[in-house]
Formats: sequence, C-alpha cells, structure tokens
Amino acid sequence: MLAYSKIAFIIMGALAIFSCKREETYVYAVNTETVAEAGVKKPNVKTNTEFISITYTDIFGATIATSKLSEMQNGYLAFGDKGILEDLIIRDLLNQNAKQIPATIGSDIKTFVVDAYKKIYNRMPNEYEIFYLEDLLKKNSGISAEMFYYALMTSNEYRQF
Amino acid sequence: MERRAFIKKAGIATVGAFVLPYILPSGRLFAATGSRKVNHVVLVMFAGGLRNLETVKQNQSNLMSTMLKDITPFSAQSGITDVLPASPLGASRLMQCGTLMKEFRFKEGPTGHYNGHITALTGRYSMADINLRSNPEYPTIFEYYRKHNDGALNTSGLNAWWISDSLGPYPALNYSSYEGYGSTYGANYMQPSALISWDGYSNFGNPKNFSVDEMQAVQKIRAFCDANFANQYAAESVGVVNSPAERQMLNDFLHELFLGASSPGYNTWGFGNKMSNDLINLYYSEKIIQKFKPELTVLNMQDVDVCHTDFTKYCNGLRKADWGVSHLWNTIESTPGMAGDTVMIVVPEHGRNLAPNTVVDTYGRPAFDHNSDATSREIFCLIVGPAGVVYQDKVLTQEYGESIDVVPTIADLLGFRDRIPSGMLTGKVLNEAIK
Repeated sequence: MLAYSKIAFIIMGALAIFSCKREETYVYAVNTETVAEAGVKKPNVKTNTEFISITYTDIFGATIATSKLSEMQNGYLAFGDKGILEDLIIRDLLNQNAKQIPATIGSDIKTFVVDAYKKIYNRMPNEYEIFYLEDLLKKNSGISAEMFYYALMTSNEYRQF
Repeated sequence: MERRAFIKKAGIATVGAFVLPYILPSGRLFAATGSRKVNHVVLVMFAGGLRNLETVKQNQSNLMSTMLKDITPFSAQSGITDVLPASPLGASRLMQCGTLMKEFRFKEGPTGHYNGHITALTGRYSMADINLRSNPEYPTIFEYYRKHNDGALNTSGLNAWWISDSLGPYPALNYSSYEGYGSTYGANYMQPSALISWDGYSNFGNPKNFSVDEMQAVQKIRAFCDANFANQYAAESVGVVNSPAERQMLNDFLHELFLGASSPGYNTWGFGNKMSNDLINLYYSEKIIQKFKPELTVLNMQDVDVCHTDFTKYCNGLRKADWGVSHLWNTIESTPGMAGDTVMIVVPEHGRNLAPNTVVDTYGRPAFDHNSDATSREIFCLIVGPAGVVYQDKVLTQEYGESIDVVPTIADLLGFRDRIPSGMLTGKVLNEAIK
C-alpha cells in the first residue's frame, strides 16, 4: 500500500515538474533576399510621373521634390514625341554636378556592368550580357561611365517595369 | 551601231523613268494621287468661346479690326483701351483674302471646349463629358492626312503639327484611339508656353552633349540592350514617334527656341510684357511654320474664355487674338514655300450664351458662360487663301456650314478626301468658300 502511494507520489511529482516546463521564445527574422526580378520581364510601361521620378532618383540618389516633379511633368506633357523629351531629361540631369553615378568605369569592368544593371534595370545581367558588355568596354576605352549609363537609361527596357 | 546604242540608251531612260522616284521640291517622294488645291492648310481654332455678337456682329464696335471690315469701327470704351501695334496687314482686312461665313454652326453636343475641339479635329460631333484626358474616339484630321495623303506611305510627322495654348486635355488631341489609326499617324505636338519657359529651360534646355563618336558608341550599347528587350517593348504607348533624322531636326529646333527665348532679340512683336498666351502660341506656331513648312498645321487660342468672369478682359483678349491671326497670315504669306500655296481656316470651337451669368466685372459688364443655348451654337468661319482656290472678299450672311465640315474641307484641299473610307466623315466640303 505504501509502495503504491510512493509510486503515485513520484508520478504526480514528475507530472508537476514536466507540465511546468517554461515556454520557449521563438524569434522570427527575414532572410536577406534580392527583390530584383530574375531575367527580363517588364510588361508595364512607366507613367510619365514614374519615369521622371525614377530617372531623377537613379541619377541623384535622392527623391525628387514635388515642385520639381510638377515642373518637369508640365514640360514633358508639352511635347508630342516623348522620346525626345525623355532624352533631354536624362541628358540635362547627367549634365549636373550633383549626379551620383560612377565617375569612371574602373579596372573591374564586370562589377561596373553588374552594378549599372542593378541600379538602372533593377536586375542582374545574364551571363551573355556581362560577356558582351565587358568585352565591348574592354575594347573601347573611349566609352565613359556616363555614356554607359546614358545608353541604358535611353533604352527601351528603362521605359518599362 | 549608233542605232543599237540609241535603243540601249532609250531603254535605260524608259526603265529609269518608271523605277526612279520623282523627288518633289517639297521633299515628298511621289506626288499625291488626289488633286490637291494647295499644299498647305493652317487651321486656327479661335477658341475659348466667342459670341457672334462680339465678333461678326460687332456689338461692342469692331473688336476684330485687322480681320473684319467695319460695321461699327473700333472705339475705345471703359477698360477696352489697349493700344495695339499697327495692323500686320496694313489698311486691308483679312476677310478680303477669302470667304467669311457669318452664320456657321456648332450644331450638336455640349458646347464645351473639349467637345468643340474634338469636333473640328475629327469631323464628328462628340458627346464626351467624362475622361477628358483621353484620345478622341474617331480619327483626327492628322491621322487621315498622314495615313491617306500619300497612298501607302505614311507622311512624315514633321508635316503635321498640333500646337495648343494650354495643357489639360489638349495634348491628347494629336491622335485618336480608333483602330487602324492612332499614334503612328498622329501629329507632332507642342504647347509652347509650358515648354519654352524658364522652367522648361531649367529642365530641358541645358543637356549634356556627346560627340558624334560618343553617340555612335552609346547607340551600339543601346542597340544591344534593345535587342534583348524587343519582344516586350510597347512602342504604341509612348506617343508620336519620329524617325532618328527627324528627331535630330526636332532637337535642333528646340535648342534654337530655347536660345531664342533667352536672347535679347526675342519677340519683336511690340507687346512687351503684354504678350498673352494666345499671342505666345501664335508666335511659336510661326516658328514651326517657318522651320518645317508643314502641310497641315492646327493651333488654338483660348484666352477669351475669361468671359466666364470678366467680359472686359474677353473683349481685350479678342482684340489681341485678332491681331495675332492677321500676323500669322502675314508670316505665312512671307514664308517661301508657304506663300501663295496655303489656305487658312479660322473658326471658334463654339459660342457663348445669350443670357449672362451672375458675375459682373469691375467695369459693370456681365459675364457669359456656354451652356448649349442657341446663341452658344452660333459661330463664324473665315477661310482665306489664293484667289484660284478660295472665293475672295465674299461674305455669307445666311446660315451655312457647320463644325463637322472643317475636316472634309481640309481633306479636299490637300487632295486625299477620296481615300478616306466611306462613312467616316458626315460633313461636307465648304464649296461656297472653296472653288
């Protein structure tokens, strides 16, 4: 009888100990992910507001002021061939001292190309693009960083997202 | 031997005559197949809402004294005292160069600025009252012209211009959403006062310039990028597109305009700081005409719309617009390639109400809206041009002509009316004015 009482006591004690186990704290975090789209898949055309705003940010690394955006939109709307105005916008911004694009291509051409694609196209270049453009820049030392950025920003892909 | 050489040369000449295109002095590759009456048409939308009472009926004396002969000669009245530069036409009046239809009509649809413009540009009355920034439903005169003028060829966009004096819905009027037409056949468009301005100069007037060699390198990179993206590019969404050579011309032209606007010799019209938006629009329209000699130019004026609140300013605006239209005609007739080969059509988009609203201006004059009453449908139309094409010094006082007749008349003048698919246009050619 005593033995049964002992066993029951031990079981009760064990239950009490294990049922009072402290709850574990879980900490959730987000892994670092690249949000750029893989490959070229940009079916949507930027609105004129998006085009001006994104171009300004890409060149100056800062958000465009509302008043400046309004000024540029009015001018943009005031001419029919948008390609001409877009070209003028980009060249005008590139002509300003505050621009935030690399001054030179540097010795690591592959890194320059990859960085330019990530900044302007918001994606990684594929292997063929890297190969072709790295080769082109190696063989043409007269091409400046500014010219390279200008070419990308006046391409059709830059007009879409 | 000589006979054989002759036959050979004659054969080559004959083949050449068929194979080699004939390049016309105007730069066009082939002559248009229709019978053209002139090679240039300028349509002036004397817009903003004009009542016949103040225009052709001269109830406030002749406020259009460079265009119209006097019924009641202009007399300065309280608030209507501006001294304008001398008439660009001297002692003669513009109406002597053509036919004045005093009782023209905007017959259907709301008497709104947008509807009025659409009607004059498409030849169709429009009931549109929402989504004002959309392209017109039916093809514009620009699209008819570019698509049908040269048969299968798409006529250069540099030959078709739409120049508006404000933004709002007007940039969308250079092409329609009609299937088979659209931006491919649209007009080049400019709103000068928004672009050739201090803001415009600070944002577009000082671009980075690349050398020819640099541009070739840029184009090589761009071509590579475009080739990788070709299957997704939505070209139709970016408006009117000119060829690379035409774009270069347009770039150079904009550069000239920016330079001109910032130079001391800018604007010698004599208005000083009293240049109105209408006059600025006419000024740059003349620059476009002098530079490109377009076959089809359409421009508008709208300053007189101030009549909603200020009748006196409406009268002053009317006088300036009148002066500007005569200046435009003088420039056309002084521009080689345009002179003697241009028809100009001047027409308001609609009129204004007979009854005033409740606003009274500082000179005690009541203001007028345009709400589709009978008076707001009464307008005039003046067509001027060479004596061989337009009846000279003719006045029609009975009701004749309506807004939808403008497009067929332009198509007839430029010789492509027969190539417009049947049923597209419901108006007629204004044969009381055009020979």
